[in-house]
Amino acid sequence: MNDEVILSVRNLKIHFDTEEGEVKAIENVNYDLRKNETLGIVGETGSGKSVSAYAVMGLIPQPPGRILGGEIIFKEKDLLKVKKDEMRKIRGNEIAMIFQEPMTSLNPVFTIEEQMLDILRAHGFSKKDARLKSIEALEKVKMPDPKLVLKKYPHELSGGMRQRVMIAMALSCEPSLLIADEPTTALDVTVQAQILKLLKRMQEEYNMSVLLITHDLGVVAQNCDSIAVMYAGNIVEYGSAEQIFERGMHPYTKGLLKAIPPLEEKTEKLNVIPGVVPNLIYPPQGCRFHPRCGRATRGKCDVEIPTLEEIKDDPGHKLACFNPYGG
Amino acid sequence: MSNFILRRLLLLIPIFIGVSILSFLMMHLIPGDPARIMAGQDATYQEIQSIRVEFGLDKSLPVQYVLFMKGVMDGSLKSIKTQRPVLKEIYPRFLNTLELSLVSIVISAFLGLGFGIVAAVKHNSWLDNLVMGFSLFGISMPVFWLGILLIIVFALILGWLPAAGKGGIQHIILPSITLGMATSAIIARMTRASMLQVMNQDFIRTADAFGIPQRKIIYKYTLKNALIPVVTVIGLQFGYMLGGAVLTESVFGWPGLGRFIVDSIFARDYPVVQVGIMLIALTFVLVNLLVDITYAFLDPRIRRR
Ligand SMILES: Nc1ncnc2c1ncn2[C@@H]1O[C@H](COP(=O)(O)OP(=O)(O)OP(=O)(O)O)[C@@H](O)[C@H]1O
Ligand code: SF4
Ligand SMILES: [Mg+2]
Repeated sequence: MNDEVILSVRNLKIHFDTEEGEVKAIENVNYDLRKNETLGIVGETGSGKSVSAYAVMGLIPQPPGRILGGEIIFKEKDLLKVKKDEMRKIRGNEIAMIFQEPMTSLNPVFTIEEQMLDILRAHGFSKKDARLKSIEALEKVKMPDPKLVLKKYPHELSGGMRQRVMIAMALSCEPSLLIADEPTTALDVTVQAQILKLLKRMQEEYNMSVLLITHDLGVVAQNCDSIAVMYAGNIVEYGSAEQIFERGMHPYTKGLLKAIPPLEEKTEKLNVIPGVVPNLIYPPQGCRFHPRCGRATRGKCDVEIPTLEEIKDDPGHKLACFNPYGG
Repeated sequence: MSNFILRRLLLLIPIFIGVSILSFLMMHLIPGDPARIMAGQDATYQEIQSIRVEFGLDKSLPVQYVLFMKGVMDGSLKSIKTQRPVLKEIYPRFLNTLELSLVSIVISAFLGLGFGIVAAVKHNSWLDNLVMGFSLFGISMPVFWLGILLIIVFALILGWLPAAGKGGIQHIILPSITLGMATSAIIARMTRASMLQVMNQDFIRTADAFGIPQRKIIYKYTLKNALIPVVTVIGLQFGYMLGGAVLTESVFGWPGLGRFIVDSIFARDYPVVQVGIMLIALTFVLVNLLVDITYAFLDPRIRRR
């Protein structure tokens, strides 16, 4: 692996103004993604995984969203400061994203060809090249009979095939960063495994960095080099796959690890950790996990906010907790 | 696609027959003796009897229907008032109404779509509010009031346009604005709502995420989806105009079918009423077919059905 960092998210803070109040969705998110690396972001529903990914894409709707601080450095540029037009050129070209819902993420009234060509043409390819490129991308994702698929409408394809098309779209411009937001959640188990394998192979073939978002640590285990565990708008633990799986220390990480289901079973959203994700309009004081944490200490965890810091004798392993396991 | 159109065209045959039967039966659905109704209140027994024979009302219903249709076609069904073949009386007036409705719907569709798109793209801006406010005004304004207002301003005060009658282009301007005002407002609202709804869909986010230019997202990715319900509204409104142009036609002295049918009702000229309504209903059916074909053209998911 190369040590060059291509994406660095620093102190990201994003709130949403809603009728009920200010949703403090992202409080403090920090991570680095190196070249050719796959970073998994794991957390329960509502922890802010998608929002932090959309922020990288410049897709936070403003309003209601407000980016209150931080930096998103991609190839030495702060994406939060980049102009709209320039961001449009980066999107789809240098950074591509695939989404959670393959059934609704493709435009129902245009053929696959129309949609793939538009993407490539938006990034400067001629019509002829765009066609060749899309066929090539569909071949890469192991789509049988790409020329036929190009003529199809989304409703004529299965969920798994649509997700393959999405991946092909994402790969067609050969991005250096791919963001996959729960790419397999909506698919059934066998298809899930195929898509994950495909993503892994594509990452190697295209030398991409991948941000793989999931609520399933099992998915992360097979695919990721590094892992960021996210809870209620904060990264609470961060490290290599080995550091998290072997020496995970945060009580929340521990809870997630215990909840990894056997590989073959389709997982529902995790509910093994007692309690629910807090309301982010009125998040708990101090450590946002304290109402659900078995190791919380009164006067400390419910007052002070733990910061993400590197563990002394485990370089690269970072933790935000006052009373970690094994600490 | 051509298969779809063919099937819909074949379906027209039974619908046409159904429509003609209903228009024919209208006379018999009105309570009372049709011959007596046609003859009028102070007709003598002989007069009633002669009408009964003339219109074959002494025969069975199926025979009457066949005679009625035959009469429409060969011109033997005559207007009671003028004694001219009904179709000959109706046809030119029908064309006038069609002309007025077509001009109105085309103008309304352009205005409605244009303003609707602008309002959606500039959602929540002053422009959006202006369009929405104006469209509310357009919807709630009574036709005769608007028509008279336009006549006063543009015909009487400014003298730019004729107040009534049919002639050149200048004659159709005021009536088509009057007839189309509410429709363009309705289309604008529908377009706006539909665009906004589509803009929130996942696939628009996808297009955004892949760096598709903003213009293309609005005019291609969003609009084609958003048009589907709007086309239905345009079709319905057009049908509505055909039948509902009466008021406008009256205000502007436009020699159209709506006004003619109303006059014929008062004159008890029932053959004219029957055939007139049949013609309007048939046009409505055709417009509907056109809507369905446009629909299938816009949405590939419909083509298979
Ligand atoms: N447009 C928005 N308006 C208001 N609140 C929002 C908006 N987008 C996200 N949020 C809030 O931000 C928080 C984080 O949402 P996010 O979608 O990032 O969660 P997630 O970790 O991706 O969950 P999931 O596993 O369900 O996808 C949630 O509380 C959500 O309600
Ligand atoms: S800081 Fe306290 S409450 Fe938060 S996870 Fe650690 S022990 Fe639990
Ligand atoms: Mg999400």
